[in-house]
Amino acid sequence: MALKDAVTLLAAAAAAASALAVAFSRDVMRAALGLLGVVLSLAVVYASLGGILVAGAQIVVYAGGVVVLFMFAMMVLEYRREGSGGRPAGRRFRPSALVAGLAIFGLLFSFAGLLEAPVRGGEAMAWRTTVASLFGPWIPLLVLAGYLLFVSLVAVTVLARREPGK
Amino acid sequence: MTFLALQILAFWLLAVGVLAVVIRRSPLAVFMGIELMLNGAILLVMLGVRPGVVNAVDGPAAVLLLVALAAAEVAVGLAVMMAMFRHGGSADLNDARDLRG
Repeated sequence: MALKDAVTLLAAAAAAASALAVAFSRDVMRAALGLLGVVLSLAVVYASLGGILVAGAQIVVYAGGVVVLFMFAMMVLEYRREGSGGRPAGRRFRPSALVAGLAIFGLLFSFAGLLEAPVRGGEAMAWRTTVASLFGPWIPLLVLAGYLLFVSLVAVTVLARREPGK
Repeated sequence: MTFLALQILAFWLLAVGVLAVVIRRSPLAVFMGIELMLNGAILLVMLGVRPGVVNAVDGPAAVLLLVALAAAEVAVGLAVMMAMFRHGGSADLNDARDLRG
C-alpha cells in the first residue's frame, strides 16, 4: 500500500471515530472537539484527493469559523457538562486532541508535497484554475473586501466594548 | 480500495449525523449532526470529481458553495438558538414547542 493511501485511510478512520464522538458524547464541548477532528481529518482526505483549495476552505471555514461559532455559543449559553464523571479537563479532551494533532500532522504532510495530487482519470484539480474560474479578474477586489471586512470587524468589536456616553 | 473506503466514510458520516439529529436533545449537538451530514455530502461530491461525471473545476467550485452554505446555515441556526435562549431562558429543543403557531 502506498504511503498516500495509508495516510488517507488513517485520516478516514480518524474522521469516522470523531463522528462517533460528535453523536454520542454527552459533553457538548467534547462533541465540538470531535467535530473539529472530523473537519481536519476530512481536510487531509481532500488534500490527498488533490483538492488543496477545498482542504484550505474546509480548514478556514469549518475549523476556523463554524467550530469557533459553536464554542462561542456554548460560552454565551453557559453550557455545562452532562455526566462526564468529573474528570480533569485535560484528560477529558485528550482523545479529541490526539485526533486533531494527527490530522494537523497529516495536513502538513499533504501540503509539503509528499502526497502528490492524484490525477484520477487524467484531470488534476488545479486550485489556480478553480479560483480563476470562480472569481475571474475580481480577485484583488475580493482580497481588498476581505481586508475591509476584517478592519470593520475589529472596529465593531472596539465600539461594542465602549461604554455609552464615552 | 481507498475510493471504496472513502465512499463508506461518506455514508458513515451521513448515518451518524442522522443519528445525532434524532437522539440528541441539545440544539448545539443537533447542529453538529447536521454538519456531519453536510460533510458526508461534500465528501461524496469530491469523490465524484472525475472526467465525464463532474468537471475538475466545477466540482471544487460546488464544494466551496456547499461549505459557504453550511457556514451560513450554522450562523442562522445559532442565532435562532440564541433568540430562543433570550426569550425563554432555555435553549432546549423540548422548550421549542412555543414556536408553534
